[in-house]
Amino acid sequence: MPVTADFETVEVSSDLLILGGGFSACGAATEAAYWAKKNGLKVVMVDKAATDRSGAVAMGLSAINQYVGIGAGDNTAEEYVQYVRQDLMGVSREDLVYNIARHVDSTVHLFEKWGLNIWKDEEGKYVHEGRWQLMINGESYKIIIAEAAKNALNDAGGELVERVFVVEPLMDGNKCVGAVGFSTRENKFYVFKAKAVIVGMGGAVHVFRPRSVGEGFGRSWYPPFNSGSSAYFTIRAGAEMTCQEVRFIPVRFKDGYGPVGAWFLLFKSRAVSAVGGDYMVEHADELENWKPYGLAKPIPANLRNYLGMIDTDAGKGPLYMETDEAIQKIAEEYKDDPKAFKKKMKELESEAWEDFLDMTISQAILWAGLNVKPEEKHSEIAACEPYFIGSHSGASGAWVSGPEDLDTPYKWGYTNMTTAEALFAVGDGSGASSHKFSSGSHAEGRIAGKQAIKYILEKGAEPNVDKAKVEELKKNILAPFDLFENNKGKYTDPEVNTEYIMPRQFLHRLQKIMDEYAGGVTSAFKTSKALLERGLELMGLLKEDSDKQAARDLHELMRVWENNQRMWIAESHLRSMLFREETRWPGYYFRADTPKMDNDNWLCFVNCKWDPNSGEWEMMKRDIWTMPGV
Amino acid sequence: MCCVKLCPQQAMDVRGYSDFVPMGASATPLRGTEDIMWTVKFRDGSIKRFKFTTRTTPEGAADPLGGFQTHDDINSQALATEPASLGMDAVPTRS
Repeated sequence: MPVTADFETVEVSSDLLILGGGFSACGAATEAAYWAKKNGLKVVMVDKAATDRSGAVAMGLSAINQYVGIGAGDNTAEEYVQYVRQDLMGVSREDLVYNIARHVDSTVHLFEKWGLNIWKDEEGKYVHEGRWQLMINGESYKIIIAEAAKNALNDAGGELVERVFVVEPLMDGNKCVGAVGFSTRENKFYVFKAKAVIVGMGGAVHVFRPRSVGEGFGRSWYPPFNSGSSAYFTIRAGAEMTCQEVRFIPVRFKDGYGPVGAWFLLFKSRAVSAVGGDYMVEHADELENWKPYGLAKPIPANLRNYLGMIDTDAGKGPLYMETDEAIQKIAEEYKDDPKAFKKKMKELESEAWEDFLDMTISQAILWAGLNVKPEEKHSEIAACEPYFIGSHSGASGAWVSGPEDLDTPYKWGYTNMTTAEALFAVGDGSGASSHKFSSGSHAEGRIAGKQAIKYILEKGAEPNVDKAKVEELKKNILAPFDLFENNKGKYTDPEVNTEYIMPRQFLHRLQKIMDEYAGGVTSAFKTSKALLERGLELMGLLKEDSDKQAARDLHELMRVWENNQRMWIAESHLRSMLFREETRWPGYYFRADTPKMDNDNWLCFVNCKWDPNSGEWEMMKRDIWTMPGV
Repeated sequence: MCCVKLCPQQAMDVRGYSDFVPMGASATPLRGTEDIMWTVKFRDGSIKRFKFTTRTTPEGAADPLGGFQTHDDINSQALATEPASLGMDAVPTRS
């Protein structure tokens, strides 16, 4: 049983500190290492886990979802801007989306050189799943990307620190000068000091109660270990946040959370309700209410969700993906040649299973447990619980500075720098630049990696770290150990105590508030002003109790701080949904008291900022800049 | 599951989550340096086997710059390997 006094303090100094180890952080490390080596600077990357298998792509992935194909003349970066604007119902930082889109192809070409197998057709061209998506053999996707980042760091004399959970920023006024955290394996408290810091610690899962609450409590679509570390870090640094109301709810194969992209895009499958209707056809009239976005193509992800939810709410569930119909249809053209038909069916079966086995093995096991053979039987789909994932079809994250060469109103410093000086955000950590996915997050990491080195060369100063503050943070972060140790004897069961709450129960309390008041699964994704205000009231009490969480070991200490991180992103979410008095993304959440989209008043960003000095939140509207002529 | 895939001894077995997956199914990987084989066992006893490529280069060999031409201009919009890695003459811009 560790106690606070047992902890050694380890100091790590660098020029550039990269927090996180997923795609955006690996992109940052790969690019920054190149420029750091040229300029004699040191880069340190810190990962909560082992980088080979950390982050959202840990298990693998079956497609690259952002490839623009600019060089081949397939699409332009401007067309990608149009696509994202449409999908997010008009709310996107078009400068950031453009910037990522113009660099993402080079990231994908690097991935291919590093060893990722991208499917090619007979002419040697990439096989597209959809307009922007490429099919890959992606079981080792993360290992390959991590390998390049590690090789780059090694070559530049950098350092990778694994299994250290970063908690709080170190600030010198409005400037970020480092971070503190602790080892998840040893009794060590880490103090990182740097001239610039890049935050790439992912989005957040388990803020809302998941559908499975027994052994499958940890099963979610987005990785369960992503606890909102990025948002917590930037909020606590006093940086402005954006789109904290724009959560993402994917519709996926039910319970196993298997991907549907290949089924919808590659196999052209239909989704239907139990009474047989294709909800995209039956409820097409509803799209009129969400124009212009509802009437343009592709129909935004949240509206596709919404049309399915109409049937679910009407008791017409379950919803099904018609996999058998789709496969038969593709194979039909070979029906006169039994040999070719058999071969095609075998190929399609393999592709369908690889889609799961590359990235969502639980879904493969679930299909096997249900005796589902997709060519013979359809399969149930459902809306997942809400997630915070700015890299996908959600948009939450920090408000960051735009690219230098674009004429946008959002420039106050270096590209991807937050409103806190020397603090950059990428991937799920940066907001309003949706649809970057794995490849775009890596590209964004590269952009920020170069910019952070440029910042250090031009403005970098030795970090001024307040020693007393570090000691105070160490005491606070490790306090759950002493709380447990000093009170555990009061009752016979160490988990039942009036002096403390165990992290698992605290998580349940958080999830209950969010599920029931902020539009989770059991509220059918609906909320209102009254519900949100009540949720905030309960959240205030939860926040007061957050320093009553106890921990018996390092794992539980990590759970305590993951809970706190989730609680802060949850609060920003409640406040942002309350502030935006309309319903703009009905398939992500529905404000029952303001059920319509209100372009006159709310075609804008909702930003928020927590003031570290006063402890107050400020809510604000920000104008949307639309790329001229696009 | 990552541990199951990486274990060289094939020492770990795995089953589905017991609160929603019917019993009797399994997915067993055998992962090599360039591909992975899967044995999927169904609840009804039927078995399917699949083999997928995992990478095209030797483990550890990823060159961060990918052999693309690099440059020294910290002030340009071009990242280290650009524009070569874009397959273009210059990074697109609107200015």
